[in-house]
Amino acid sequence: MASNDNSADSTMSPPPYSADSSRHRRSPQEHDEVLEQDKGTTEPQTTVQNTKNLPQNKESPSQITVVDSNVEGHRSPSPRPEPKPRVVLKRLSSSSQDNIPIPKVNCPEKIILCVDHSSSMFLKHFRKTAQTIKQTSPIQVLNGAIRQFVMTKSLIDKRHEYSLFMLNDNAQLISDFSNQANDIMFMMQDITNTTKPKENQDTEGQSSVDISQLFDQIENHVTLPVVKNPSQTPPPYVVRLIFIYGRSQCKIEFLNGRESYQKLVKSPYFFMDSIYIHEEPSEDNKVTDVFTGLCELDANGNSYILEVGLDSSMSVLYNALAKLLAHPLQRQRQPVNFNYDILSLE
Amino acid sequence: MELNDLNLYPWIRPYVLRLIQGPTGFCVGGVKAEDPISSTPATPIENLPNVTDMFSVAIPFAGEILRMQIIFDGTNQAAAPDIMLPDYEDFDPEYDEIKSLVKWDRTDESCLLKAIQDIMGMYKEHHRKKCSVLDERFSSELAELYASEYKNIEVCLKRADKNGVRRIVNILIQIDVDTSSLDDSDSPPPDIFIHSPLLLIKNDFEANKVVPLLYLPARIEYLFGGRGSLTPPVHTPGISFLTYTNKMKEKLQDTIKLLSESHDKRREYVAAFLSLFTGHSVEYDAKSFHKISLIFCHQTFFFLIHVTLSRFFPRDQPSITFQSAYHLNKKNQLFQLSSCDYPYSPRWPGPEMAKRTKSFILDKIGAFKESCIRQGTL
Repeated sequence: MASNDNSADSTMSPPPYSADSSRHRRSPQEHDEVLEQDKGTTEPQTTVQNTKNLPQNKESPSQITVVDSNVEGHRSPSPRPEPKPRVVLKRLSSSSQDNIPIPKVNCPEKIILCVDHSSSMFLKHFRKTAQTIKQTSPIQVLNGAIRQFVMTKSLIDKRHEYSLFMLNDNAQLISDFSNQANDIMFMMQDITNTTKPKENQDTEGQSSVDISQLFDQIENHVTLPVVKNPSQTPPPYVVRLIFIYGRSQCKIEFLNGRESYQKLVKSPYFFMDSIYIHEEPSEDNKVTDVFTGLCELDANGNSYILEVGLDSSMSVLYNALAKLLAHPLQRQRQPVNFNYDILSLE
Repeated sequence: MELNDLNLYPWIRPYVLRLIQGPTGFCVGGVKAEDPISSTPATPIENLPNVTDMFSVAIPFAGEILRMQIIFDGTNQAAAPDIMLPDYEDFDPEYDEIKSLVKWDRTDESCLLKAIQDIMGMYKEHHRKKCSVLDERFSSELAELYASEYKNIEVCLKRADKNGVRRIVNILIQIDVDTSSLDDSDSPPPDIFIHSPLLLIKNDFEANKVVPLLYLPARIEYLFGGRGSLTPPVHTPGISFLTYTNKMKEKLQDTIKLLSESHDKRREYVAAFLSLFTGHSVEYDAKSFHKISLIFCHQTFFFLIHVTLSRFFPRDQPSITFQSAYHLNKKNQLFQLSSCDYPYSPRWPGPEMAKRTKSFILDKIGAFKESCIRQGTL
């Protein structure tokens, strides 16, 4: 994947802090080819042209940028169709709150995986490519990605614990904290294979989902550590919520107050990361609003907010979970245009 | 046998408790009390059925166990106990020589322990004298050892067969080493039996064979990497006991130094990795610096690198493991490939090691990706 450093918008002055979770993506076909076979040809270079900004009336923690991709220079013997311009969600600003510096220790994490259980996660699909035999739904891909996540975290440190919530109209605790990765994997597998949301229970029909109750449940479910002298003393553990949301028509809102949320984010040992699986942003959906809402949940500026378009390859969802492997006390703030490519270190 | 299982007279219990729980001053702790019996057929004390006032103690000595019988009189608290030694031992000290028994102070809970210590002191001397006349050279080496810095030495002449012809001498030497420079926050609690490393040298005169064995306290064993992690040096023929013991001590101290320096080296290594690979860190051991995990992508292929550093780094080369972000192997485990086969020198500074590791990763990532695609499952 080419670096998306060229996509920086020259018409905007950079905010005090901004983070870029976007990637200029190849076509899904090219993505899957990387996973499935060795093409043996030079990867075509993509360049970004004609970056435009949609007009914004107010400052927003997120922004839509239209990015054109140009596959000029591609030398493959079989000509590929020109990919249509795709829209990339970019996070450009974040809270610049001065947080208490916490020792960068690899203390145990209590990780809450909150997975959207709406029909979108089951009935939508990632774009089919020549390599994929069938279209895979987000929940199916997520099952594999979560498997990789918990197995890797457990390998790194067996003390990490995992809990699973499902989000329908309300949040429901499925599995309490356990350091047995198999417990979570089993529950996820079970949910993926056995649950089939009915058409008439299409949660996308709602205009918003109330996340107050999710935070109420989390606040009751966890005990955040209290440490004297937090800048010197490492905490016994931290709590991290990984919120995986897949609705493009349904905004997230606090319909019953923010007290629990505010109590949680007040603790320096609570972290919230988000993965947003969505349709292509357009005027017919609320993708931008949802993404904005997720960015606004980052009260302390230490969240990672990643987006995965359904028009991209399913590997992007794996990549998102992989980026969230990083321990919240040891990772840097979500960086602007960070390039994970090892070749960029040359 | 637990103290409660002995069912002793209540006034005898404190003496025995002090004996089996307290530090004894012997090379090996862990005196055991067993085989309780009663000297009187009927107990005069109500609500104390079957109380006992006689029992055996088993005392570790020079790699063997010495047993003696302690005989209290349950009806007479003021009287000192009798202590019976086994017949096969030609060791029979005079009662008057055991000062703690002669001046028995029933109010002093340590009295029994002191009596045992007095007897063991004489027992030690008894064996030292016996061993000193075995062989001129042996006697000379033993004398040299006794005159050295090693103050806690137990020597025992064993008769290996019934005829008493074959002679085996055990020499147990306590070697004191300073481990304060080691990080022991995760180590087990102090060993109640062994407080310092013990070197046991078994001499078989007739077979002309010397076998050294090393015993470590649980804490030191853990810090060194477990049982068997440190083997005694080779015992070359003709080497004196003192010279060999000094070699053993030197090896222990070198290992401690290696472990102590290793912590700083590992920290330097991890710091170099964090500096070179800023933003790629997933998690690292911020206390002992034994491992660091990183995330990269190579032409859209995301992968992880896990680096493991042993407690003997940089002597031991770090292990590097590639892991796919997507694939499992045929056993449904994370798809990983490990390697210690890359250019390495323990003399390189941390930044050089980081740079060389990066080159190695770049060299191998193509082949690893290929393996994932061909052999891995999603």
